[in-house]
Amino acid sequence: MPFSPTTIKRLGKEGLEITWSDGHHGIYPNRYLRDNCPCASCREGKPRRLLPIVGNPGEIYPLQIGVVGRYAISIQWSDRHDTGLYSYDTLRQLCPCELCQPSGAKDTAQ
Amino acid sequence: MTTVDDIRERLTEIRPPGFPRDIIGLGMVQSIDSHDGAVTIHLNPPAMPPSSLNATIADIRRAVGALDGVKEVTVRVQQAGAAPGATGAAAFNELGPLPGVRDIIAVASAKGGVGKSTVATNLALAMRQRGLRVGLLDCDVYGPSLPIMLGLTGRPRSAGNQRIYPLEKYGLRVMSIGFFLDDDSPVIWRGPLVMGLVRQFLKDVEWGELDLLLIDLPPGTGDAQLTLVQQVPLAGGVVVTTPQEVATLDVQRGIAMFQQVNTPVLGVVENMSYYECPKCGKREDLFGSGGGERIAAHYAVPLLGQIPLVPEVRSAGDAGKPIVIDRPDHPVSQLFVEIAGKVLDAVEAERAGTAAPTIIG
Repeated sequence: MPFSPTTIKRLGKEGLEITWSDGHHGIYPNRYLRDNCPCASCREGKPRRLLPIVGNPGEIYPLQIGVVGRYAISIQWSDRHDTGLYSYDTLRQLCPCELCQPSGAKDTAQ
Repeated sequence: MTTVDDIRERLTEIRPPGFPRDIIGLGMVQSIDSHDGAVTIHLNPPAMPPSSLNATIADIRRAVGALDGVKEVTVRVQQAGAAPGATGAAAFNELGPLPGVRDIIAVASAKGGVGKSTVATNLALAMRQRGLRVGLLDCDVYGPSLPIMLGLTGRPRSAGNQRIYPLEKYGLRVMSIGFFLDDDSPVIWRGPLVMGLVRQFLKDVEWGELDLLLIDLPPGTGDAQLTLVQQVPLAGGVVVTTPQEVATLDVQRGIAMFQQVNTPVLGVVENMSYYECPKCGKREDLFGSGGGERIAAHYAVPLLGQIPLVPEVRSAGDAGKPIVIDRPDHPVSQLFVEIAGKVLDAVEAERAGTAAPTIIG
């Protein structure tokens, strides 16, 4: 069984703190998660997003977080974009902590 | 220490602004989980202004938070009607665990005609015989066969509140699209309709309290299957196959689908595994042999059992009295009972890992 999150804590406008089944945890800035939205329209548009972020780009935060089956979460962002399903695998790969992304690859991480 | 019943009791004191009844009486509270002082409450609120909903949530937090030993209160809201202004909010209509249903198991095959419904029906009945409360949901929209197999006719009752009540037979609660179709009309449906039906079956059927819900999936790895795995956390999937190579190629896709969405494959059932000559008792491998074993070994999932091709299984099914009911002493019935036991054990073993993440804040 791959890792799965045990808790997902909203840190307001900062981001999400995710604690994993193996005890690992990481803080995901909202902006970073939104930029790495795995949905088809965002991915197709890489490196530029197809869907422009509405409003102040610094002010992106999740309006709603839902659990999808037992493999992913969905996030409705404050720009109303909500089609991304962040699978646990993807989330784990995205973990921006020093251990997971030693080169500080925050902005370009896959 | 505060129990779930205490919490429920306290919730009866909360009434949303403008509503005549409390939130328990309104059926708003879907589930209450309490674990080491961390309480999670799932709400499925009726349509109400966001301000009322927020006030209600605040009341819940305050009331439950004041209970002895409660350290943390999480309120999760499932929106029945999409919030005004929200677009494409499909992903947020996730159903979460069905209220009253403990475990959900999908019976799947990537290919038609392998006897999936026969296996699902007999497994459900075998589980029922162990005293479990079992529901059987026939999601095979294209060729629903449960009505025939269980000899069930008639339309399910539905109440004014859009709830549909399952039919009952042999102690099983059963729902099938077949109950709503005329006998001779083929089902020609596009994907969105199929997904809508599956969603409705999950959401609007009044199962009552169930230990297990078996879902007979349509063959393939398409919309219905995806909708299902995305909407409810399955305890696991059982994959039905026949021994021959072509069928097993398809089954690999079925297994891969479950694995992709993190749903454990509880095991593989090989149906029509061999034919035993009723005259001389010689075993004949009509469709070749070892397909199920190969699949099981390749994907490291257990081979739950091999069911021979015997006329009694088919005739019992056609007569509306599945073999587990019709001939409980038949070796094949015993096999189904054995497989049912293995499935239940596997579910038990998987339960530890099924917890959904807690969303805080």
